[in-house]
Amino acid sequence: MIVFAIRRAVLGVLVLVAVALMVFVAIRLIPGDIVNQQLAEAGAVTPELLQEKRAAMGLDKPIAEQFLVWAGGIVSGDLGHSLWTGRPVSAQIGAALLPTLQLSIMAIALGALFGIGAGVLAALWRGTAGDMVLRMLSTVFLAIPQLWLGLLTLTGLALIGYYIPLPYRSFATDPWANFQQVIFPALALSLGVAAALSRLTRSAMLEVTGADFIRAARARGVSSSGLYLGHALKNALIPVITLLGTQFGNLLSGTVIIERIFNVPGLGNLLFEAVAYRDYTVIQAAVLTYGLITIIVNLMVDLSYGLVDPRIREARS
Amino acid sequence: MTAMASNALPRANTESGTSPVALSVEGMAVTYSGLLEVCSDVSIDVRRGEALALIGESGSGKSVTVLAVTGLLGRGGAIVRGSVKLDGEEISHLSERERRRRGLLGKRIGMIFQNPSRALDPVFTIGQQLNEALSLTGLKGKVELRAKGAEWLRHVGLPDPEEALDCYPHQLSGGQRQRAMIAIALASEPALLIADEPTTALDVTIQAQVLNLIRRLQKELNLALVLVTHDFGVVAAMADRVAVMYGGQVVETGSVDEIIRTPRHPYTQALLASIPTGEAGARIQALPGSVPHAGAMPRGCRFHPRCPAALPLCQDSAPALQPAADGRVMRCLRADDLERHDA
Repeated sequence: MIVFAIRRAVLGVLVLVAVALMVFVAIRLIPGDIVNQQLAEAGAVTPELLQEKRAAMGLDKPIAEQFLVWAGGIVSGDLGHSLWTGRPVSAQIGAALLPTLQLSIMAIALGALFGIGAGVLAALWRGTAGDMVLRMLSTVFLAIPQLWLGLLTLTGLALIGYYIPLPYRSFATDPWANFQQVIFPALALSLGVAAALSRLTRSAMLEVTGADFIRAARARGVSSSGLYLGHALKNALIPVITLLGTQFGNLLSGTVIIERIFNVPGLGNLLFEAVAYRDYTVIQAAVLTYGLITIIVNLMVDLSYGLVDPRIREARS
Repeated sequence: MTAMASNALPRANTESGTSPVALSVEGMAVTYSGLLEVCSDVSIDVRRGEALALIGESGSGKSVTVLAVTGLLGRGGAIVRGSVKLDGEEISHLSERERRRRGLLGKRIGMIFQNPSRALDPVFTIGQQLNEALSLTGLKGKVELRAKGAEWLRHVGLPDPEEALDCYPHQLSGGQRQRAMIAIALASEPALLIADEPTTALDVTIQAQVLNLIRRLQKELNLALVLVTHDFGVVAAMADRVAVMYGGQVVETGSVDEIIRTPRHPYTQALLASIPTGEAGARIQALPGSVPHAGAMPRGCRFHPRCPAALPLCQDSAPALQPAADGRVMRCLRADDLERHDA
């Protein structure tokens, strides 16, 4: 198990290096670099001035050298400074990380709850009107983009006269305001996840409930809830957990736009602005953080298989 | 019937003659989705302490019969005619909830399945699955459940019962899994045990051990046993009485001795003739054809297209299961002819 975790961690670091390299190059390929952006408002811009500015930021050096300098800083724990404000990037990321984590964990938890719950119910109600309704809902929410669902939620709330309190409060300072600010974006994010999960849970449950061991458990007097929520669900959970992991990636990318819509000062919001301003150091650090979260989540998913299925646990030890 | 039967197998029959009937099935018919009649006329009786073998080819309806008795027919399956009585109590039309309430699932009827690798939940330990059965007896408390569970596993001959409690099914061998399955089926202390081809999925070397175990426990616990099989070797070793099934009907019943030594019904004779004798070079008499599909049963006697003794009459009138002149119970229009021929 420990060897397995270490192997996965090494793999994770390699993935992070690849992510860093890609975002570093990609952001520099976008036309209009930071110097252009900064001097866009200025009147007379001479090529000398541009050159001077670039040199000051180290952007005149070859890209490989720039990357090595930046990567060296990261290895020693220095994410650099914002090219616009000069503030340390690590402080910005640190402040933005918590709202994003809170939002995405709430969203994935709600998504898992709704999705697995709806899937189990649909399997239990197979062929009835309830099953049809749940399946239709899942198709609908699978088809609606998170962005539109977010806007719809916001508009819908306004229509019934409810306004989410502003500005953003952290959970520590004002839990109730924070809850209201996070629950709606979390819901908007969770429905897509729930839709995908419920379809898979339903089919996995149906497959498992036809198995011999379910009939045998019924024969020894196991109650309905024990059959479905104990034996069937635990066996059906493995493909569901896999999907939960990949859905988390989707959900994380969804937070960028959802945080923007709901004014949550998280990583997504930070990244959105940094891209607009071509604040290279901030963009790189934010993307790297997203990568790190994704890798950690995938590692957790892999480890959790063993909790559900003893055969996987053994194969690894 | 009793007069002759008791001559053949005195011990078994005096025993079953005095003990009460545990399971009584009469004229039971089972359909799926109300259309496909997979069992048409099944009548069997099993007394306490008696082992009844249900034998027939694949598709003869023997598995469906026991699933109907246990209420495990699954979606669309239902008993549409006849009666099923357990200790005199009519149980053929109960819902699953009602069956559970009356203790018909587990507590009064235990079931052993064909393939222990598939009948045990792979992600629960043997102990957890055993506890589900034990809790039906009202046993509570972690320590008590564990002690009783280990006792059962020791009883069925698992080498290291304490350790086996914490094992997952895949950590045991096929034979051990079936032993664990037997322990689980018996842990709720049922009076009727149903074993659906309990050794078909096991290695030949293990089969005899498991059969001996079932037979031993059946005697020890004075269980009524219904054993589904297609193997006359198993019948001879395990059963007191036999019911031969064909095309969803019981076609002949009798003591093991009667059926194996002097099979009367043409189908029973054909089944016995198709057993390899073990002699080198000896030809096996195969019964041509196969059991007709439930949706396409022939008119008249269901066996007549394959029957070597069929008369034109057999195509039109369906025989009923009834005692012949000498007390043998069989379903054949020529029952009395065949008896004379026999004598």
